[in-house]
Amino acid sequence: MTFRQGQKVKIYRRSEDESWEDYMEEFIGLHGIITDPDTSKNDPEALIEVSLDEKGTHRLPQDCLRVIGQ
Amino acid sequence: MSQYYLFQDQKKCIGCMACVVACKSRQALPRGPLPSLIVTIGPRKVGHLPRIAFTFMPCFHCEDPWCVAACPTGAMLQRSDDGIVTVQPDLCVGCKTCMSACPWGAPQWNPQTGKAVKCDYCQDRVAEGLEPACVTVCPTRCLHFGTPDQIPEIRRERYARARAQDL
Amino acid sequence: MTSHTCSVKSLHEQLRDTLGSGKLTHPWCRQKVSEIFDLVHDVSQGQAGPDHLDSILELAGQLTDRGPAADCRESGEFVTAFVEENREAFQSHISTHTCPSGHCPMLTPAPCQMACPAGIDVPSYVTLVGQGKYAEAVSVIRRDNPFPWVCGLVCTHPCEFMCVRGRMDSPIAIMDLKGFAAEKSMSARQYANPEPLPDNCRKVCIVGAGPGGLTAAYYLALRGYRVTVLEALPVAGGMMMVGIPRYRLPREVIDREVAMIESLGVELRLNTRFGKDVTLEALRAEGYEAFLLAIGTHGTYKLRIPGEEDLEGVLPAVPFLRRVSLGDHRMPGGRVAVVGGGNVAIDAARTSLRLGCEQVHILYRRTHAEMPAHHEEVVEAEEEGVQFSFLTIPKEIRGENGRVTGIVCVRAELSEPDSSGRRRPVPVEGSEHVIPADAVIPAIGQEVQSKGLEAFEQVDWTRRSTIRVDTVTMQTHQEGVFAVGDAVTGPATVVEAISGGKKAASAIHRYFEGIAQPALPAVPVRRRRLESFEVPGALKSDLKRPEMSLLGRERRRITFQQVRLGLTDQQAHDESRRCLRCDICIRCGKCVEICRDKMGIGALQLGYLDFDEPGPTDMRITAERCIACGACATNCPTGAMQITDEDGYRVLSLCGTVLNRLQLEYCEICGEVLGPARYHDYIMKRVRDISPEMGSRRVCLDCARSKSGGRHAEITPPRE
Repeated sequence: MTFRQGQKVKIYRRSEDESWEDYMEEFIGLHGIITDPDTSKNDPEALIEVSLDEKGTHRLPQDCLRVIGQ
Repeated sequence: MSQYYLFQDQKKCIGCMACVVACKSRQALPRGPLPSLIVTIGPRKVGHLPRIAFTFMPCFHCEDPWCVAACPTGAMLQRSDDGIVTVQPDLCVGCKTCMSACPWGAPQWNPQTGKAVKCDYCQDRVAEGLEPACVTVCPTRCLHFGTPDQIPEIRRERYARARAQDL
Repeated sequence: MTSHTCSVKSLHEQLRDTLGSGKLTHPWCRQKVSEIFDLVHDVSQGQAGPDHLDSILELAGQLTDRGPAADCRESGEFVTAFVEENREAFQSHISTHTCPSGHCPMLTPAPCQMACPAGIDVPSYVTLVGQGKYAEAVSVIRRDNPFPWVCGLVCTHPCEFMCVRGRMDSPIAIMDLKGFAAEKSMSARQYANPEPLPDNCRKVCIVGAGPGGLTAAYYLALRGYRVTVLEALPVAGGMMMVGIPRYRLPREVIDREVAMIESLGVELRLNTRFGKDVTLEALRAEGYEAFLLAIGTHGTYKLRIPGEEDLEGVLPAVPFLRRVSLGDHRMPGGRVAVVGGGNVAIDAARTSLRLGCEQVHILYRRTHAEMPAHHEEVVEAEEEGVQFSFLTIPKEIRGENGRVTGIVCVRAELSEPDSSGRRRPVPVEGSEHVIPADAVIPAIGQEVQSKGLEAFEQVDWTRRSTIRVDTVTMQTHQEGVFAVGDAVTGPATVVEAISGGKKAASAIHRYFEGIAQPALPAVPVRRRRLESFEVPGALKSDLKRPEMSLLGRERRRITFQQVRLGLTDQQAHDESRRCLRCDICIRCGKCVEICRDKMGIGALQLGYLDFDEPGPTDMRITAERCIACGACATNCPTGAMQITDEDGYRVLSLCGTVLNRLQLEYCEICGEVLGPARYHDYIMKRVRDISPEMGSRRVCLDCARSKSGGRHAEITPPRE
């Protein structure tokens, strides 16, 4: 899955990636919008920027995200 | 008409407002709302003498209450067992329709809670077998609380006459 | 969405229950507890001062020590323990005026502010722009971001993606308003720095003068630190200067904002590469006690195809853009092939056009839909005449006499989605072809150039070859060494670097002071609570997001002039009025629910209130249906919905948007204000069965009472 700017996503699980931090646990289940996907080379490994509904904007690994709606 | 009846013997009333204060304080009301009120009439010249009268105006707990019909949320309730008309604060959203509907201005506005408040004959006291707060504190004992049949005949007539004028 | 509880709200509710239950029988106790309740209420309303916490603990202590009854003492102990345990939440409520859980309605932040990585108080500055107070708007922005002008031109604006107005039509042009305010106040010479704290004589060294490093420098300088920024390049600004092309971000914009930071006493050492021109030992000897690594990602990925290394005319995008930014405006070749589909590829292509290249080709492995570059950039590139070859995979760079002559490519097809949903480009056999080119610009990704940083021995690196930090504090594994920006995140955005710089400044300060570091990301700070503009509902819905004028297409192709020409005063003021003021209205939906479900009227159709399933919004319908009962306003937890009587009308407004205006009626007896006729009709309809003839009465509450009181009066002649 490549994520695109403006897509609505859900954090559906914790990530296996090393960049996942403890405080992110509370993001699981939240919805958000992709605000800055990987803008260079469709890299599934890149951290991408997600704005969560009322929980701020964070750079997250892609394996915890799933597109919802639309 | 509720099964209860609150009667004021105007001959005895001195307009001290103790009832009004007790009513507010029992319901812990802020400045503004007066679920019961002493209306002062006069002084008027009757014969050669000045006369003054005090009418106690709580809620009359009508048989077909306007306020209950007007209330869109079901917060204003006429209790089926004893006919007491009371606001359920949980359901009241503060639209004030009860206040505008009542011809006697009985439901009042509590700005602190944003809900209507009114005389409920102190239903919790009544449930415990006590009299409403206003009756308890009246220094002249001009307020009586009971059932309609406990009221002396003449007073009942007088009361009925007055009520007839309203409608 | 409020997934977690708020300890302030929880104590508020518990105290209210305790007071309401009548459990506390001793009056002294009740008094003290209600005083505590009032203080907690202030905290939850954003009205608390710095002494509130101490006062709460003081009162709780009195209850514990002097409480005449057991329940008093228990209450005191409970409050003390609770506040001590949740001290941070209480302090955060007091200092930030924000309750991120959304449980304290008055302190619930707007989605745009929450979305901003730097946490800018967007609704406040948007409102200030509408009031024409540009310098004030800029100072609100600079509390959280020292680059309002830069970000007003090139931010990726996550705020606009979360903008609630976007659920109605299109988001507020938050970024453009920021650029507008910055330009206006700079032009009026009102763009000013706040007063820094006195010099504390402590020295911090920042490696890299990009947005992350300079932001940290700014906030540290304001706190009184002596900051030196090392920069390998001859210019400050980092990727803002040498990555983003001038037609998107004029150099003057960066220069002016960097100059503002320098004027706080920040020392910029240009042309100074860490590890080469200056060593860690030397810096330590100079007295620097903390270091911030903000070196960006200036390295480039290689194509790994034949011809890449040995032919003249192969020019990776990052050094190419840097070269052009530093003033080398020679064109790379007449025909240019850019490899890649990201933002950098687009920048390289559009820059090439402006340098005079006749033919600029972007070669991308996948299709238009998969291009990672931002959509607007792609469109603007297309408009300017950049050509795109999709599903094209470079195989080899060809040359003659050591110079590039073309690039050999194969066509590709997208495979069926694999398990992760990605469609891979698969080469089509026999589809080899040559695209003639005089220059090839690979733009397929950037990486950190870590050379020189070996001196920081304990600094740890991730598998992405970025610096490993705690993302809350930006601390590396080495004490006193912090890192921010692309060097930490990989290629990211300006505003994220700024956010990191701000976090690092605060963490560096705590490091010097020996204060514990936070465990959770910082909470944005509410800077103001401004009055909303009064706007008629119809106008509020009809206002459209402004179309910014762009430089003519012909001129865009040949010059580096700024493409986006900025908003006009009128556009900016109108746009400010389009804002729904989500810092005041928290979209709880109570008003809609009460009007529809409780009152049965349904005069509020505000579909935008829901994040996941926004429904239709109609701001005109209210004027048709609303009876102006005011129940929505009464139950609004933040005062966003207001009902007021003015000039003979009852007016319903939501954050200044006038939804309904009905003429008032007055008491026949005393002239007191009654409701509007429609309200009266509503009631009459409901009580018709009881009192059919009551309809004509227009008497206020007090008059109704005294009138009937008078009729009941027994004033009889005196007994003879």
